[in-house]
Amino acid sequence: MKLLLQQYKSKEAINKDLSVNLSLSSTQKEIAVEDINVIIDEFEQFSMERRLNFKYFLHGKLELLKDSGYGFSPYLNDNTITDFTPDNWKLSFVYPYEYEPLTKFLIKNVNKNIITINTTSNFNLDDIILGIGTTKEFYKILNLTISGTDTLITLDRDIVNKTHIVPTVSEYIRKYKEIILDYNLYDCGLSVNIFNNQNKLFNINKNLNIESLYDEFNFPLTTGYFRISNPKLNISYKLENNVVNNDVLDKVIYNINDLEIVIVDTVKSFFTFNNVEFWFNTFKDISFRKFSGSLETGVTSSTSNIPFYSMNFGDDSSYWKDLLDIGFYEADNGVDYPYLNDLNYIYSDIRIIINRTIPLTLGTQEPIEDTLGYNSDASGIINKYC
Amino acid sequence: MENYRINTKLGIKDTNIKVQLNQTFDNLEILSLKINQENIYKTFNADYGVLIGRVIANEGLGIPNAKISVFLPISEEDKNDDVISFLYPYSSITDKNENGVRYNLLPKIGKKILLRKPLSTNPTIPSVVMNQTNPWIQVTIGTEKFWETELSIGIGPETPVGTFPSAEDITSDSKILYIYETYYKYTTVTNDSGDYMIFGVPIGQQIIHMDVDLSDIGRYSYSANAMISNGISKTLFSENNGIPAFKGSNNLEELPQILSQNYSVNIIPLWGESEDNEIGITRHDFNININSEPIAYMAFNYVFDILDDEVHAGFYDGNTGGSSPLLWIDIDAHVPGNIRETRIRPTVSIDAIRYDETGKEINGDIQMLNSSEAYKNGIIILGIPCYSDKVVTDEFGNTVPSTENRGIGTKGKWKINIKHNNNTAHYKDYSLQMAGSVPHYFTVRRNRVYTVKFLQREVFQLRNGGKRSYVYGVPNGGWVNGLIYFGAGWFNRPDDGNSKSRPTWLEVGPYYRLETRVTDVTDYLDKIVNRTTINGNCSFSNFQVAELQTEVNALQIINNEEVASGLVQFEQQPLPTTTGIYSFYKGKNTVDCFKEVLNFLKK
Repeated sequence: MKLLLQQYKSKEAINKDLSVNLSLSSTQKEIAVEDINVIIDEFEQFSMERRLNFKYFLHGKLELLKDSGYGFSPYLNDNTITDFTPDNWKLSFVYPYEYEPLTKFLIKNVNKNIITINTTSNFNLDDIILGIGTTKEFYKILNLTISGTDTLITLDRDIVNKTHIVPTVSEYIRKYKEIILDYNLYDCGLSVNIFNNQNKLFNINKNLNIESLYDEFNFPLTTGYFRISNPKLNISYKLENNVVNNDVLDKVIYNINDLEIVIVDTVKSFFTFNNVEFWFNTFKDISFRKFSGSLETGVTSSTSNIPFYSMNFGDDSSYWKDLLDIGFYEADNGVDYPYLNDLNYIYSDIRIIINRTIPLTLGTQEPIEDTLGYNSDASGIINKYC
Repeated sequence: MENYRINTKLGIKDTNIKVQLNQTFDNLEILSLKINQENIYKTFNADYGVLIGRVIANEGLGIPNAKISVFLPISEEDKNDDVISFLYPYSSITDKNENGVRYNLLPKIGKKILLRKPLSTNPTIPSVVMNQTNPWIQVTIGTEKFWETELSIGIGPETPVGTFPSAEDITSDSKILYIYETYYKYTTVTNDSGDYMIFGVPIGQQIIHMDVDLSDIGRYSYSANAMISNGISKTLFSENNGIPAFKGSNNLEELPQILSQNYSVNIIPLWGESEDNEIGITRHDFNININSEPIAYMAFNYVFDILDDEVHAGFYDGNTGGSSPLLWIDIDAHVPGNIRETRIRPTVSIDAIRYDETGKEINGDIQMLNSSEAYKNGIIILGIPCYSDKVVTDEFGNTVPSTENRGIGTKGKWKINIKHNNNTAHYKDYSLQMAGSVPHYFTVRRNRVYTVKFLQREVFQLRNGGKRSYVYGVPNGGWVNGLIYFGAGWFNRPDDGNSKSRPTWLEVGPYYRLETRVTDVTDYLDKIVNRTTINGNCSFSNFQVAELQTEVNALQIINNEEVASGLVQFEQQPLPTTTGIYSFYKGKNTVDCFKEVLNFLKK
């Protein structure tokens, strides 16, 4: 359609401008970008969500390895060992829950925050010690006085209902709590190890929530364990060759000053088959988080964001180690695993390796004349002593 | 249960198989593997992947028992550990250990191992252990005395050349266990179809390593004979009493039986967000060329008389008569025979022609495998390449005939003429062929042992005297007292008195099929033969009796599966008692003869 104005001469021409002539102008200032745009850091949001998430989906691969026995008796071919069924091999989740110091000193006398013990060594000024009684608590040593064969120790606060103390660096037996896992076990395609043992896959049916789980020192749980058991084997549990109860996890050295744990030995499962003793590792660790290697300190009353698990004593100081974010590595220290849909995914390779208590191979290997097709290389000769 | 099958092309080198995982199925099938996806599928990137593939020979055949790994370099921390860095010194895939052996997955032990027990702790002879093949003997190593025996574990290479620890090492040594769990944690082996799968490989670029020992690839295993029969230089092999064997060396590259490859492969996450990321299964196939064809064996004896006198000749079994044992082989347990020194074993040459599918002559050659030294008993062993009727492995892992002449052969059509090199007009050349076949060729199948057929099993006497030659094969039915006996056919000179009734060719007789591996059956036989020789007058324990019974039964099953008059026959009665076994194996000459053949075949 055309609008005909005056220049067109016709009988029906409309001699009127119907256009709306509008002048656009503004006297107001523009809206500031920063007033209306909120920049969301997607990664930060993701990290925060992941940091606050404690639900885990555990899955992984199981591998069984045993020796072929060669000519040695017995050959480990019992179905209860070789068949990778849920009835034979069971997985559960355990975490360190309780600890039992191996070195303790009897408190002879208590006077508010001053204790007397019958030793003149093992303690230093500013050490943190563990008081043991009806409860366990940490104290800081503010003063030391030697009196004959005794030591008078002044602590940072009154000590109540404690019978023993434990030095700064001490060995502990850790015990665990167990959570039964509901999981599926199925073949891993044609995946076998190099010795042709079939691999299995597992995945739990109910996600594991560790939010309310704390370790033996009431720190956030950073490391849990798969516990591997076979109810059809008459298993005994040993720690450093000593039989222990089936709730013992391991033996550690805990340095309270540095907040560091060194695992000395972990419980192993032993069983006897045809009068020959075998063993396998009872636990496989799962790292949920890692603590930083740096020890942080702060004045309790004036430092913000001190973690709840910090050590806090009478001198108004706190010290702690930061929990590293998932995906953040401090040198080689850190963990990373997938997270989405409000769930963390941890994949684990669990190898059940059946070892002999008395190894097959003893003594040195020596070359043998190559007359029967043996490898004449010294490294390739099998000389077995038994 | 709902299954998805992902069709793939075979022989491709490096690709990722992208799958839209929507969790509407239970199993994911690819090649011959299945991955249960139940509860494992999520919508974010997994931190691991799955590597699958096939080791393919000659563009078609899947190779079993190939070793595959994801190479992991030694960490800086472990480099400072003397023991670990000694056992695993590999910072890169090309590094070598202090003996000059490169990174490999080949086993350090073969199918036979030695077992020793110190005399100091075992003053009396130890009891028999499983898999023991020889009786205990005393040996002195340095100043210490040991009981020593040999165990046959039945699997592994003929000549071990690798450094990969055994399961015994791993379960006995904490350092080796650490290395296995740290650096060999992504290792696997191909199945019967040549397929492999490594689950849980870290994502990203990884170096994938493969080792194949052609003497240890299941039913396709090659013997040194087979490779030499295909024209590979004998200098690449060692020799034991004139019998070829695989050589060992710290330089794995110079060994004809070892094939290795390295590739850099990008491992993608098994599951994850597909919009921004590549997810799925990582596929990598290894293609190898095997230039050797499998072989069949032709074994027979060739001797002839040098006496002009009338002689008794024929097949002597002690039951049918004869004044003296005339033949080199005795098949009667109660009357040991002797090699008649009046017979000589001529030097012979082999003239061979191969035929294609249509019967047309094509070029070909067959080598006599045993050396002149091993030939002293007149035994001729031929390795006959099986070049036709090739088979490949299909997508589903089945072995199927090749339509494109790919893969590895299973049969061969050959005409073989035996020419003795004595420049005497009396002797005629003979050809081996199937009865009535025209042209005169015969078909052999891989891993079979053939011999010539016994033409007439009887004692006969040459009326007119004169020279004659004999070729011994397998008796066509009948046997005596359950002894293993290897041939008694004959062929007499065509110009003798019986020539008109004798053909000028030798019929290829029944064959004996060797199951799975060329060496398996010969091992059984060898074990029995060695028992006889080594034990002498020793009696067998109940355990050994039971073991022999098992072996005999196994052989009978295989034997019956083939032809009733196979190469190996056994008494059709319960295994003799302990005492009976001894007399059962008294035929020493028979044993000696077989020992030579079997020692040869097992290489």
